[in-house]
Amino acid sequence: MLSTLGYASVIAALLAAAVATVAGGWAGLSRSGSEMSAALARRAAYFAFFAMSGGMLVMEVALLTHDFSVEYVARVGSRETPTYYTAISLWSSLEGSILFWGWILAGYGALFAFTRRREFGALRTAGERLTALGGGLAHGLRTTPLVLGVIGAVQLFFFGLLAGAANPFGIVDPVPANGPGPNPLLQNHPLMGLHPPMLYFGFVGMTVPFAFAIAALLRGNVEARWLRDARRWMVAAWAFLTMGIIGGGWWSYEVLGWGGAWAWDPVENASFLPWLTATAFLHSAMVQERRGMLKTWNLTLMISTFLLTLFGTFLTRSGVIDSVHAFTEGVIGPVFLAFIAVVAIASLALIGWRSNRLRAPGQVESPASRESAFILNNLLFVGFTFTVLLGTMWPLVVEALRGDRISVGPPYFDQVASPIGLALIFLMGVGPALPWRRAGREQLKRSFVWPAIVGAAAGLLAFALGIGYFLPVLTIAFAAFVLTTIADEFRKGIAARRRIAERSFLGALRDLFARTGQRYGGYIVHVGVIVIALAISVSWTWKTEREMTLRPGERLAIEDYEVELVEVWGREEPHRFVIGATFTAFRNGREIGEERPRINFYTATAQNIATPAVKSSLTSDLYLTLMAVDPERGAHATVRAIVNPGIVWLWIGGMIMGVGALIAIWPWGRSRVRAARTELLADPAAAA
Amino acid sequence: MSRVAFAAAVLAAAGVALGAAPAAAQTVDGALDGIERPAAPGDPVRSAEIDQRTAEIGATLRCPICRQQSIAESSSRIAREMQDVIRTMLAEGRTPEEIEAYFVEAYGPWVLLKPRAEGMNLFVYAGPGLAFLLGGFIVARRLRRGRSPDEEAREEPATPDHLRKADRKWLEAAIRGS
Repeated sequence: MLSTLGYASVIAALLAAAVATVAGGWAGLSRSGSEMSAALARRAAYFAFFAMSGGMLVMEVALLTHDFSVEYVARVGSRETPTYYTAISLWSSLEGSILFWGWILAGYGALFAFTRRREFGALRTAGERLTALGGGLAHGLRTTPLVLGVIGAVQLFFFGLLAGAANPFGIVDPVPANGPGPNPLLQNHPLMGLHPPMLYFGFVGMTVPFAFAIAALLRGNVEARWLRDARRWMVAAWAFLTMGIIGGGWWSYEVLGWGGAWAWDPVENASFLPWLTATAFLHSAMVQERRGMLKTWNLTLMISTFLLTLFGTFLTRSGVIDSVHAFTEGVIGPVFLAFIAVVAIASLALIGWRSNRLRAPGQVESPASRESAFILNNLLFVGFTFTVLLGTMWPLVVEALRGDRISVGPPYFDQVASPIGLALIFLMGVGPALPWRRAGREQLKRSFVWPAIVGAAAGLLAFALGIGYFLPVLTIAFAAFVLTTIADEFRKGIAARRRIAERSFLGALRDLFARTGQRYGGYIVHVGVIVIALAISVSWTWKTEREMTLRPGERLAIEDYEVELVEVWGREEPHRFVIGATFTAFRNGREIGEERPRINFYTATAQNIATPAVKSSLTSDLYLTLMAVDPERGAHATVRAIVNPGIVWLWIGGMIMGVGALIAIWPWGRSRVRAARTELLADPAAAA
Repeated sequence: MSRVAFAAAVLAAAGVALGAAPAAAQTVDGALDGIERPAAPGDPVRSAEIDQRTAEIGATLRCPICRQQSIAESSSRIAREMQDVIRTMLAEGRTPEEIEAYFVEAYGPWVLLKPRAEGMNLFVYAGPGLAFLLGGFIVARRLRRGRSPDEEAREEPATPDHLRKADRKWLEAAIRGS
């Protein structure tokens, strides 16, 4: 029964997507641009979301009521799994995660239609008047349904998958009495409820900028408002992706038990690739906004980002590369690959067809200008993307060409990523302080003397404090340099606002964010990046590790910590056995609490998952993994203790990045709208 | 919890190497040895220096049954045995190169997390550099082209800054004349 209902919802959504594609395309591309078809596209977008929500609800009901007649439930559900993990097992396997993906995609379509709802009314009532006001505006009104049409076309693919190759509502007969439950790794930590949705919101969100890009290519026009809006959607998706990636690192740190957050696993890389190109776009879009240059390039970045999200999903879900995330294998690999190829070829053809119309009038005037800093930034980000892609795919290439199996792992990526990362950090200090067009010698001196002095001083200090490694010293020096330029930017901005608008300090700060959130929010993101860079270099430099077998009452000492084994215990839960050891932890001789690292044994899949115990503090983490216990009497336990200095700042830096992104896209009330309108009136060229 | 349940849990847990995929399942007896062995009191070669060097070498070797984890990170039985091998070889005075060669012999080049820079694999090292060179070349050309005179002449004169010299002269003359 539930199967039929769920499948019907998917089919309804599929039809709605088809309607949105055709109606949106007609409204945007036909000579007259029918208002009725625009309204139809909007309604279809709402309806697709409604239908997909129904489908998802049905699946949740099936999961929570353990309806094992639904094949997906029979595969990932079990009566013993706790309710929380049952609810989130929606994304623990292929079909469910495509369903979740489709629901988010429908949500983005509906949200986009909703944010533009006034336009549809305006189109109906006052089309002519608006046309008289200026070509740009009327053009914008026709772009909206076209964007909806492109989103609809992407929906067609995903809903089609759900209706065919990845149907989550297949039926099992006879109905099994119970199922195996989700993959143990996915039911071992509550973060699993947070990290995948964040990634999905990020991945799927890249569809909207992609649709903007395709719509602009089809219409052969990119105006200022188009760019501003596309960028806002990109920032939102980017922020989710950032949180998803950092959340994934956190999950891996808390669950996988090896004391690190990032292993350059192919699937981690797959989430990192679109992040890199999206970040490149967020920067180069500003060059287009200010100087009208790089139009084709920006479109390419938006499309590449979308393609890389598809590629990442392909890697995760096709089982092409064996990795921690490739939980499933199936027939969707070729289908995905075909879709990627179609999108890539069609996009390339569109770009080729339209590149003449998108030729930029402006030119870079001087290497010492902000636009050239942005271009260098793009060179680095795209080079980074290529490098990560090369390293990730290389084992496949070698295997395909020569049949040999090789590995490209963390030592390789660390080596190639460090110089690129350092160059990007350095550029973060240079770019913001450079003016547009060209910088004079005096100006350069004024902007960079102090940051350079502070940076050099910080590097020397780090060296004097006994940091003998080259990379950390350089990171610290660059970080100080960047933070100084950012602080200086804020100082200048706030001083200017206080002078002009006679605001208080906080009022001036709010003004900066409200009026130029893109820029100052971006600086906050940069601060977050610096915090992360410092956390990485500090934790790598001073990470220490010790392993010992202890009897109750015996102690292991590591750095300023000590742990004493209290007892070894075991516990039986409905879906697993838990073996654990209780330790008392001390820091500088003072007791700081109990630690209980465990080994969870999941009966249904006969899998063992070690769950580390982490005691975090702002200075360092004590990380305990239970390696082994005395099998007969629990008389001793082998524990690996890791002291990870500063690793908490990885998560804090991620949150700072999120806050920065939020500032950049926050609807700061009417002041922003008014500012935008003034800008538009003052600069009619930008609207054309 | 009863002793029976505890024993059952331990036995079950021992059936699979820690943190590894089911593929790593071994016999219960063997796994029990594995669980007790690695750091059992009185293990022959353990010194801070050897531990340190073992970890360094271990970080470059792939754990055969894990996913993208080095044997230094993995807690699986086989990774810990491989570490013991490294330890023993180090104690015998073998060089890191010899140890690496030993593991490549045993497991194939796949065991190296950083492929050797030879043959086809040279490209994975040269590729990023080549990409940056190519990209840098394109960008530099664009930047230079930006300053070439004919390109500026083609540019639309949007503001007075962009007026050509002759025009500006004419304009200045007109202003003086008025």
